[in-house]
Amino acid sequence: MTDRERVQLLQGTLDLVVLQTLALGSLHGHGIATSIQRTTEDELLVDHGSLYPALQRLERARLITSEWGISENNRRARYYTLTRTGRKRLVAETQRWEATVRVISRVLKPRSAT
Amino acid sequence: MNIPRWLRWRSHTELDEEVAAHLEMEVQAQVDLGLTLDDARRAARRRFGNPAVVKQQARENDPLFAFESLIMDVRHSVRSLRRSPGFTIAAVLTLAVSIGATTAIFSVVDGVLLRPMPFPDPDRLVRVTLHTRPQANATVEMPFAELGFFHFVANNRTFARVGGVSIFAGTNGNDEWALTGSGAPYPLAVARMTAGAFAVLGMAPQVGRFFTEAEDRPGGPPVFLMSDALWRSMFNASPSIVGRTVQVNGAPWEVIGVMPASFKFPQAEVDVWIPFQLDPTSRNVNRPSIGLIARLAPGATVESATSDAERLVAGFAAIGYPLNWTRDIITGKAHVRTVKDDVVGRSRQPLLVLLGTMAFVLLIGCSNVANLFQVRAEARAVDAAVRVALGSGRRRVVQLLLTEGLIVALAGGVGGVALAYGSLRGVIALAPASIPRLDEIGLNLTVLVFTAMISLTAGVLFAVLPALRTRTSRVLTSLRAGRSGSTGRERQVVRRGLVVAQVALALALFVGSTLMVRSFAALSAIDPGFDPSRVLTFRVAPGATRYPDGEDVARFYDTLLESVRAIPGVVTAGAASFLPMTGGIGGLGGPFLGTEIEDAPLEPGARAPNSVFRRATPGYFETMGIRLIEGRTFINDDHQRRLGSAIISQSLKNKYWPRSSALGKKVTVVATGAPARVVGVVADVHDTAPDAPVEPVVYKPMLDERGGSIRAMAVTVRTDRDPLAVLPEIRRTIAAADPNLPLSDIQTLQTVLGASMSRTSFTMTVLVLAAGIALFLGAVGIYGVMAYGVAQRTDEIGLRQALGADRASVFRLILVDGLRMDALGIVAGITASLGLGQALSSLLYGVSPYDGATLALAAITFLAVGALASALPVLRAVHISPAVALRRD
Repeated sequence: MTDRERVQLLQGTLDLVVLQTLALGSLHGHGIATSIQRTTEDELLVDHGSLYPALQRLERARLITSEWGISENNRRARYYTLTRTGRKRLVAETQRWEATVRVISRVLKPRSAT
Repeated sequence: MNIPRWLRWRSHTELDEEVAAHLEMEVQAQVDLGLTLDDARRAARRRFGNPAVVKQQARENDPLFAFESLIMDVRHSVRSLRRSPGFTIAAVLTLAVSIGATTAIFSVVDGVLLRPMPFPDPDRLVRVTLHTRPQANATVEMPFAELGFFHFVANNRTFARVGGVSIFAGTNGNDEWALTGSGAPYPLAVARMTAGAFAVLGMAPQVGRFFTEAEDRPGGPPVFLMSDALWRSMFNASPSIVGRTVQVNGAPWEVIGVMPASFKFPQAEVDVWIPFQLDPTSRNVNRPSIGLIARLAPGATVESATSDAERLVAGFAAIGYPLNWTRDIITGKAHVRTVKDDVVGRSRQPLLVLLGTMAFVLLIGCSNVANLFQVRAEARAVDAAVRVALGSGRRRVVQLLLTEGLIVALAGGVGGVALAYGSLRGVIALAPASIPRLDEIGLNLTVLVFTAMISLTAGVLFAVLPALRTRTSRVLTSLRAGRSGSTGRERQVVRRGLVVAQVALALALFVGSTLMVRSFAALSAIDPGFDPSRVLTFRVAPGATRYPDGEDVARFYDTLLESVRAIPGVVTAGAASFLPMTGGIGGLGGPFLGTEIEDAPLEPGARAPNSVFRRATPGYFETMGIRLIEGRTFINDDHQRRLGSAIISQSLKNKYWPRSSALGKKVTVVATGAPARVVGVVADVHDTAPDAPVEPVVYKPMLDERGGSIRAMAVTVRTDRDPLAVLPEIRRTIAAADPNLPLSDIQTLQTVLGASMSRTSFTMTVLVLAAGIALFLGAVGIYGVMAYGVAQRTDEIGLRQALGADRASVFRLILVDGLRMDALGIVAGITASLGLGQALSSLLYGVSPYDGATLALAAITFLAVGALASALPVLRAVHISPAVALRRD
């Protein structure tokens, strides 16, 4: 799949995706990246690098925390965990996202809505 | 500088490690999928994106990042500025000169016009004057006599308090006062104030008390308040001064208080304030001397106070003002204005004009530096484009430009303040003494804030113009254009616009300064009617204690002049009540008196026409170099034997006896009573100012028929050497005759004459300086843009020549280009200069603000400068060898 065919991430949705990914448990940066790739079956265009500014942003907002740990193949890696606030935010953001999608879909396909 | 690790939210190395770990994991994952190690690495890096961008973005989340990157930018900017010292020095110097000039003039404007008076609630403090008929007096405003003053005190509806002030002695009073009793007499400037006047002003003495209402009555005790300056210089600021008795003019006076240093009323030089001791019952209105000040009542405005004052003036006839006053002298109008407006008065206009011209200089300087920045930015366009392409955020690039602009601007600002500091003394020394509050001028906080503001604005301006070009759409163009950068037309438009504006502003300044130079030349060319070279003048006032009556005073002057004439180096000596151009008595127009002429009888009830009245001693006309037209000058017999003689000026003679001799004719200066016979006619003298019309003058001897004599006189001494060189010997001579007699207002006649033109010469000097700077900067601006334009068009010129264009056509091509900018600027500048001329018109003498010759001169000068500034680059252009030009890239 070439980059052109991949879906560009909407502004601000990367945060939501990262939060959802961490909802299942702590992960390091590479783990998050592969997890996103796997769940979206490689259809989402995410530069792995762009995760890191997002992670820092979320940590500064206290939605996630991080600490150094040892990875599955014995390497030092920083693990990120969802906080309680992060979990609440995830629920709220998910609802909002769904609402947005519903509305936008109705606009884009008016006939199926009637 | 690096931020200490513990201060950071997360260190750079931690992020580096995290990224490295990520990449390794990804490589491992790809290898597991079956790729070779090399392919896996490539794939991992592609997946990851640009690590530099990631780290940069991550860092921007760090709160310390902004600070850190600022320091980095500063270091980077300083480095890059040091790499191009020519640019840096040119930019900083240009800014320093223009900011310095603006700061110096602004500090004058701030000290004189902007800073509030030291009194509480100064906007409610007003001065009231009576409006006189133009023909009644030299001044159109007049102070009050007791009658009118107490009428205002009792019957006004708009003033909370009313007070009276007047300058009594010293500077422009009519009597001379001195501290005596300890060493050499110390001349004093004395102001009289009513007890109410202090209440109006609302400032308390720093030591002691005001005089009371009881002390402020006729026959009250001799008490006074002294200035902070006198207290410090003569009494070592001793607090025990209050209650002490000091000798003034040989009589005991009690010191009751010391005013604060900021109290400078009615003018800065006052040494002591004495009670006015006005007599409410006085019916004499002929010597009005009371300056009326008042504090507006709550709710009253200057407008309502004016109509209230005019209502009161309308009642003057009813309270006892004689008919000729209400009919011939005062109009019934009154001026009410704030004390500040009153003090600042005529200085406002020239100062604002000068500030405006400095703003022009600043604009020219800034646009020059902005042009330098433009050129520099273009030279580095590729550099910037590469940065953007490599992932440096556009914000970073702009930030870098901004830092550079601000560093240059701040350096220029600091240099400017230093320059202003250095030149401020010169400016103040140059400024006419008639500008009030000169002593309050300095580089204070307001001025520094002003300078900082203009520096910052300039810096942002420099940065913003080149920053516009970093718009990402242009990046590719820049990269493609390669080393020479873009030769984009729009760049040139901005630069050319700036140059046209510079030429226009510089030309306007040039016209303004030329007008001032011509005014000054015209003023200097006026024959004042006397010869000011090598004449020393000073004032003395023999006191009433030692010289009780007029005879004693006259004998004193006879002896004094006799012994002064005997001093080696002295040619002649004489004295007069007032010197030309030293002003009359404190705004009163005192020396202008009605004069009746026997040969021209008045209509019944008409007022005698005014002439300037002076008393003069033998030797005065000779010393002043006032030409004798017919008859003789004064001799000792005129006053000693009271011959009843008078000397008149030529214009007076021409008015009444145009074809016959005036000798022996009878003239009567009404106020002095007795008629006098004309014994001589002398040349006219410009009495008020060189540019004021000649006034008729009547001179009479110092001792009159009634036996009175004027006490205070200005002594004039003509010397055959530097007049100040004989001063010590004169002092010794006078001290030998009377050790208690102070000399005041010691100056040369040349200084007196110069001071009368100082308003013009000050404005002229500042404008000439401004125009000089502007012309130079304007020329540099044209040269810079032309030189750069030629450099940019090297290829084109080479190509043209290769294709057969001869040198002359290339020469024309470029020169016409430069002159077109110049011509546009000249046209715009002439338009602007018409406005400037209008603003200057009150300062001009003998030249019209729209003087065609001046405009033509300016246009020619600027054409020449423009041609010269364009010619140098053009000469380079025509010598470009086509081969070199085309091979250059």
